[in-house]
Amino acid sequence: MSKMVKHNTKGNLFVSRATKTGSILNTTSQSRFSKRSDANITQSRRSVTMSESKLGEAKTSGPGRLDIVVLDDNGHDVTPKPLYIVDPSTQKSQLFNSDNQSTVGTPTDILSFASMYQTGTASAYAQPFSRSIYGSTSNRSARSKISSIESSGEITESGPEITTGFADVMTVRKEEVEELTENDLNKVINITLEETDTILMFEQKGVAVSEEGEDAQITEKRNQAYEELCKTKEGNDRFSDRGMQTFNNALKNKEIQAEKVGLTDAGINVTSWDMYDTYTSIAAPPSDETAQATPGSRAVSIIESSQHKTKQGSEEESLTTSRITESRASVLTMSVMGEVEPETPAQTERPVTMEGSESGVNPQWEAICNGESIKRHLVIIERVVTENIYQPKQATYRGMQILVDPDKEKFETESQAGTVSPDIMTSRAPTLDRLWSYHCSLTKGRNVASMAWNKKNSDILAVGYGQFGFSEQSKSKGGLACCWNMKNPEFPERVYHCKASVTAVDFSSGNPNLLAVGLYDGTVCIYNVRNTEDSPVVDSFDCHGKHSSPVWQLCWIEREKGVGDERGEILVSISADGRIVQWSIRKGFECVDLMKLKRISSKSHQKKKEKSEAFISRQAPGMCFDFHPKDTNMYLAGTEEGLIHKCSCSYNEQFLDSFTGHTGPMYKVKWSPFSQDVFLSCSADWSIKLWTQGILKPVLTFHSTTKAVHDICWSPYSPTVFCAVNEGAVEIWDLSTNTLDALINTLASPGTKLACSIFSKNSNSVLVGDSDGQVSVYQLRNMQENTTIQKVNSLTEIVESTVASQVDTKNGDEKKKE
Amino acid sequence: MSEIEETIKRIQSHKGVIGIIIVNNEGIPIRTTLDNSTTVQYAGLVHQLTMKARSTVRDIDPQNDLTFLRLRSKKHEIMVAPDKDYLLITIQNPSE
Repeated sequence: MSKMVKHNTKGNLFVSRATKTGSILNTTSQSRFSKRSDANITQSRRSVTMSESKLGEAKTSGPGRLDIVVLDDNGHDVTPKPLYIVDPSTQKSQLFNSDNQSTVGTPTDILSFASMYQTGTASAYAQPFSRSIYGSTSNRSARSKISSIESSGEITESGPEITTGFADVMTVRKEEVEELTENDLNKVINITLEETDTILMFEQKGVAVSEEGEDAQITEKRNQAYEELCKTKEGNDRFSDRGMQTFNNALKNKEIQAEKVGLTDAGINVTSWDMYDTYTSIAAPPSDETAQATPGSRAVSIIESSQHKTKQGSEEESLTTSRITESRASVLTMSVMGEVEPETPAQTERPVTMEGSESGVNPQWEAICNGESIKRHLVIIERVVTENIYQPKQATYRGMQILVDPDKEKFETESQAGTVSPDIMTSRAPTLDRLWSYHCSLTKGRNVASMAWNKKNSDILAVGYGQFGFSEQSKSKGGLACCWNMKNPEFPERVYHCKASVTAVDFSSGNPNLLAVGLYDGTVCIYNVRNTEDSPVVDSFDCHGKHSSPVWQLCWIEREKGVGDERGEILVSISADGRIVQWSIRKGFECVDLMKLKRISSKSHQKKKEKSEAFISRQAPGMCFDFHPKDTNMYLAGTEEGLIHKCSCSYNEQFLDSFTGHTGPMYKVKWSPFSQDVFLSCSADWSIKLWTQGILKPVLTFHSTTKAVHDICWSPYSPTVFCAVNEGAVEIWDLSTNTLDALINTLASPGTKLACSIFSKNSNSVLVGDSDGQVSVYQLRNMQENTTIQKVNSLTEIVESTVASQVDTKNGDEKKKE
Repeated sequence: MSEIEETIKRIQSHKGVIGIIIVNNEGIPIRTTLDNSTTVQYAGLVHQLTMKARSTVRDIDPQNDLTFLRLRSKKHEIMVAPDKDYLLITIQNPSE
């Protein structure tokens, strides 16, 4: 029985031929290599004709023609037919076509063939040659393939199989090799790297055993036994040394060439805040992450020219080692120096002195400038710088200790010491100590018209600049309202340009960020000082009830009484068109007339007992007003004629009282903050008058100068102290010491006229504005300080005593007449 | 933008101010009113110091951050306003 033995190898089907010669080799080889072979090799075949195929020779055999014919017992031809019929023409072409590639492919093919033959069918070839060494056979078959391939056009008898396999492989090869076009070369090829199976090359099991393992005790016992053995080995008869020869394998040096492994040093400082940053950035949404990563990525993009690839993310920010900073700096300058900056000559007005580095850092500078934080930082820096310069003055202002610069002393011991305090300290008389002044180039030449403190932050001062006279209006370029901060006396923090001269300013107390500004042309504007825009929030330009003449005074009044929506804060203005107007911001800027100032012709007292009637001819220009500090329904208004009217918000047609006495326009009228009935007035008739509510004639008159008194201000600390500003001097009056002369009289600098004054709320100082745009801060020194209770009463006492004396004289006069 | 330029000029004209340097977050000066060598020197050194100061503050409490740094020496005072993207350095001689 002949059996067909089939061996399945990789992809190719080989047929092994059982021969009649059963050799040991066959048995072994077959049994070794065939899995499914049940060929009984010892059985001999009846007839097998096989032509010897010499591997050395090359024979062409037709396709499909087998030289071996196998017949079984019954004489049937059971010759295995070839499974693959190959066209020789294609074979040849394939063989010769890919000469270049074939050489590349051949070694592997041969090796693969060798392996294939190893697995299965070498036995077939072993037989004809009756060689017993498998290895040599396979070698030979390998060699035969080489020779068969190399020889042209020669296909061996084992050809079909060889060529079959080879042709197969060759076709595969052929498909893979293509003409590479230009596009192909430029095409992006995706290469996927996958993890291959782990190839175990060497394994050495550890010789250490854990103490807690199961075999630990056994191992320990063995270890101990061995140790004892070693100890007893020395003089023991059971052990004897013996020499032995070993094979020494020949050593061979093998060199390989490999690419140098690039090493890079990377250092990183890990800090706890760095970890915190990483966690917060991970937790934050991705949009934030990109925003955070941009500083790092920007750095990376700048260093792209170098080969160094850094990892992005928060680790970037933590690389603060100086080494990296320096390297980056050097790289940046290198990469930047290389670029040509064509615009550098055009940017010479910038005070940048880095040469050639603008191209790399300009976008950064732009980005920084567009941000908000740099403005804030610049403001802080300016304040800090200013503080360094002004610290002594500001400390004096606030009543704090002056910090002495320890380094400054050394320089000054040689030169004359102490320019600040000793002069003042030596004198005992009350004086004004000039601390500093608010002025800058913007305000130079402008007349200070009005000042107001911020109700919330008493360091912030609003100053309105504007000319008083009509003829001067055309000369000025418009008005200016500035907000100065005590922390920076060199430049205002807010500057608002107005189209006309500013005549009145006031801060709101309900909304401390609102600043009301009154202009010479009658407009009332409200600014929001929170933002730095130069435009008002509301403007009264469109109001139909607006003023047609200069707004001389503005005041925010907190109205407690009133019906419904009259409560809250309102803005009240008085202007030269004779109206006192109340403004409110509800739907727009609305105004309601509080009072129309009517002209009263007060005829001088005549012998006749006829009462002079109120003669309503036309409106009287209003100059100033002041609401009562306690009763916000009542206010005083001063007119250009010299009359003071006491009015009430409830009556808008009639005055409650009229105080006569002044002979010129009333510039200011002020209630005393300590005494409820007393108020003070100043006017252009060179005098200041003290009044009390019940009496329509002035109680006291202060003459000290021959110039118009522009402004008066009560001191918030002393009930009897007030400050008066006339064109040439600042006067501080103290009624408790002297009612005839001013306590302190400080002359203005020549060439300037003083225009307005205001007491400071948080310091014993007075601020005086002049016509040159300067607002000087004077601190009162050596003023008498009595207890306030005593002082409160002292003012009323003075008033009463004066009134009493006046009444006495009056009575005396009447008695005389009678 | 020009407002910032004006402010810088104004600070520069304050009494005793020697110079202003603006340094980016890598220690490279991008605006300065001093000469080149001084600028580079100040920029590098002050940047390192500010980074160290900020690291100190944040190590103690990572939610805290450095807002201002003043270094007073015998002759000068160096004031640094740090930010995420830049450093604003001002050098002043206050006793002038």
